[in-house]
Amino acid sequence: MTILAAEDLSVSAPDGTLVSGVNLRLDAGDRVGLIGESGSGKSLTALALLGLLPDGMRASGRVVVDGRDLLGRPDREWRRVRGRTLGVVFQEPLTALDPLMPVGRQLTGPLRMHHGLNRADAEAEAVRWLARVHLPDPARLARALPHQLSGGQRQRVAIAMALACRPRVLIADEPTTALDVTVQAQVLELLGELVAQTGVALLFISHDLPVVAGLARDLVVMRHGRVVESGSVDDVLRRPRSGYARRLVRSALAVTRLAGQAVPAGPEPTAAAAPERPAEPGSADQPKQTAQPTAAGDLILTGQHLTRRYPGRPAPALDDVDVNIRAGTSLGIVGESGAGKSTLLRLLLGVDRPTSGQVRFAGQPLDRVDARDFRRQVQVVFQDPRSSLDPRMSVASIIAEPLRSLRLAPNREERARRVAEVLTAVGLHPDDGRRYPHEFSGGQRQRIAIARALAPRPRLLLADEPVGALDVSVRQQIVDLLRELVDRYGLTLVLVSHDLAVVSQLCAQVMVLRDGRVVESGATDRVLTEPADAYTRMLLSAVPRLPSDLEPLSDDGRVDPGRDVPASTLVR
Amino acid sequence: MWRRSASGADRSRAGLGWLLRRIGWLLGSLVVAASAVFLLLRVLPGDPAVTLLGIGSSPEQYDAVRRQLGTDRPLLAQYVDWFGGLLTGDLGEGLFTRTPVLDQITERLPVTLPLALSAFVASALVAVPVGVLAAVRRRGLLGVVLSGLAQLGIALPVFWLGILLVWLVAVRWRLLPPGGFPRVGWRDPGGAVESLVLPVLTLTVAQASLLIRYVRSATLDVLHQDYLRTARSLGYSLPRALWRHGLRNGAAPVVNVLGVLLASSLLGTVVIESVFALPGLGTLLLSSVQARDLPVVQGTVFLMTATVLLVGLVVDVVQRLIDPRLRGRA
Repeated sequence: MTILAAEDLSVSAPDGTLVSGVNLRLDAGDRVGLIGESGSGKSLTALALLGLLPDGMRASGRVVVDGRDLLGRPDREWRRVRGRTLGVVFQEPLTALDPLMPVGRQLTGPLRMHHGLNRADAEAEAVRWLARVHLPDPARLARALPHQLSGGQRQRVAIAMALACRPRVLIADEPTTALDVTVQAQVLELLGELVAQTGVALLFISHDLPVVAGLARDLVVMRHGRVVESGSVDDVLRRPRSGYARRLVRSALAVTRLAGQAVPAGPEPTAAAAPERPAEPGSADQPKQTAQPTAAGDLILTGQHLTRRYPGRPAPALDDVDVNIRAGTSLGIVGESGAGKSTLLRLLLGVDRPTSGQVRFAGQPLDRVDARDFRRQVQVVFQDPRSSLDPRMSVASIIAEPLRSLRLAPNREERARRVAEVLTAVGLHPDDGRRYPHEFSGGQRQRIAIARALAPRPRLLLADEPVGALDVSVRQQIVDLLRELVDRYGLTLVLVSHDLAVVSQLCAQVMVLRDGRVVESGATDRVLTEPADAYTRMLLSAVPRLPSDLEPLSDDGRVDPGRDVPASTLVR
Repeated sequence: MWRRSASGADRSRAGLGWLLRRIGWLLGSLVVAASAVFLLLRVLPGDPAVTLLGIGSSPEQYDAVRRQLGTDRPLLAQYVDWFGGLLTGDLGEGLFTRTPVLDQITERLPVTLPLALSAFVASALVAVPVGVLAAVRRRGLLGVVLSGLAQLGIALPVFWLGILLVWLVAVRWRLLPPGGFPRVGWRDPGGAVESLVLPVLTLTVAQASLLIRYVRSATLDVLHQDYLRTARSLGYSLPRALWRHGLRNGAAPVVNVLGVLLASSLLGTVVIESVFALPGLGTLLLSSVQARDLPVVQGTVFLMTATVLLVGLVVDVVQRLIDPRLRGRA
């Protein structure tokens, strides 16, 4: 029996149509995955199904719940199905819960409202649900405020809230996107378990094909507000009909085959356990953990015994970490949130000082290095180009800014010439310099940020999750661009990322951080194929993958033998 | 009954430590304020002896008066006097009236305190519901009208509004006295209340207009929060969701503004009391400034400053009560 159906559902805002002609049907026991990128209209579709579109947006078509079309009906009628027939889990566990209300009370409210339970019964039921989502000590946890829980725990609470009133459809809108990969794996497992136990029909919305494919039986692929493909998971994965679905499958397969695809080893970053003095090159180069011989290449930036404690925190954010960055290498720093990746990057950049230990640049302690020279040689690309570019500056002046502040280009003409050069280098047009950041897409903005980093001709490029804020289909382009630029300009690259696929494509070496410590480091292909540390293994196995028997596809749908990354271009 | 988690003694001890530190800050600020008030008044032009004597007095007379007033003594000695007096609760004597400053101030409080406090309470009572309504109905006619009225209320100068009300209510309609306060004060309760109605109304319009804007934007902020969407996805109506989640979450920014408002309503009485000829703190301050009665100015300004600082402390305490997340921090 159909519980929830969208028929020819469209959503329009004053300045255009955002979703058009979507048809969806959820029967009891269905598990449908809705996949698409930001702007594809998948989340708006979900909100339209709930009658919760943002102000100013209008839905048309039909949203049928239990045989009744609710579109255009008063809120009173929607409220009868929200929470009771349709449960929702939203993306951001940090903001989806009221920060000032104990999580138990956030659960009991709807229970009392929908099922008329008295306070004691509602509380007992809430605790039961907290236990069902496998939260420890649920009776005590019911009294906690959201900020006292981890992101994964909060999402478990949100799932309990969505399911507590026993809805017959669960809409999960990117429920694991904000979570670390190992936590994501746990939450996905929990969702699968609860869906099986309760028999609730599932509409799982995500941009991440492997995540969806793991839970759903049917797939609906959306792009630019339209459904471009739908069918069983098996059909879509094996016989994608649209070019877009084919691309999605292909980039997901890159992750699946991640282990075999790693970049071959270049010069080795010295293993973390071996303290060495870069000032005496003769005595160095004796890594203890790895057998790889270290190739030549000057040490550009090193950190020895780096520890960073923050006041009021018992555990250090970074704990006795050594890192050696040689010219011409590419080092990936991998770890989950809180691992110390960003702290390490900040220390290496000299924007933060270690509590103990020392960062050296070209053999000199950082505080004795000429700051301007350091900034010229070491440049950064940040995660989110929406916030790293000043919206009120033209692209040309954004890119020229380091040239001006580092006094690298004596006059306007020279600056303009360099700006045009780097714009071309990142695949934009020199005329784009006259435009402003908001006129560009996320991927283009990241190109601008990369151009700005390149402008002073740095030796070392630090990239902090450079594709983390971008859509899946754009990520590969930026990764390719970075690879090409590193190659062309002989850049040394340090890449901070939680995404093992990105690291495997860009970095010859990898360093795995956990709780501020290095758990493993070495050549990327070795670490990703034969991880020595249990945590690295867990990290690898937590990455959602498509079934490994799927063949890589080319654009025309045939098996593509030539998709393997040409290794020779990756590392210098 | 899951109220906020009160996880034991260490938390309340942390809270106590915070409170002590915060009070330490308050005391430090009071010392700075006392010094600043003292120094500023000595730096500003105007000599009380000249004011007292008028133009054309002899140098001998001038010296005698200065000696009599104590303004001839070294600055440091005057400062020590002022400070020592503060510690013992003695604000000195007025230069001209020769009555203790503290008495002059407490004499005026029965006018100023009811005025400031009732205007404050009335503004809060009006502004919170109106502000919430203006936010919820922001796209409708009602919301636009309410926001427009608030904007108008902010734009109107307080004294002009006061004069308008006096002309309309007191002069044209003869409903209320145009100004002044019963000579016997609160022993004539009817008269006292009557003479405070218009000043309170004036002050309330000005303050409520400002507060409406803050309540409106705090409510808008809550309306756009994900947790409100979550609540609605669970079947709550918008008003119920706002009640359940908006009240506490929206309160934090509003409490800050309330603090500022309470403090400014105290200072706002200077204008209001002049317009309505009320014998309150504001008029005391004004007249003593004109007369260069330094001890009175000094005492009044210091007392107002101290009140503002104390309100700041109360606001901080209330903030921590509202938002337990603040309690984790030092």
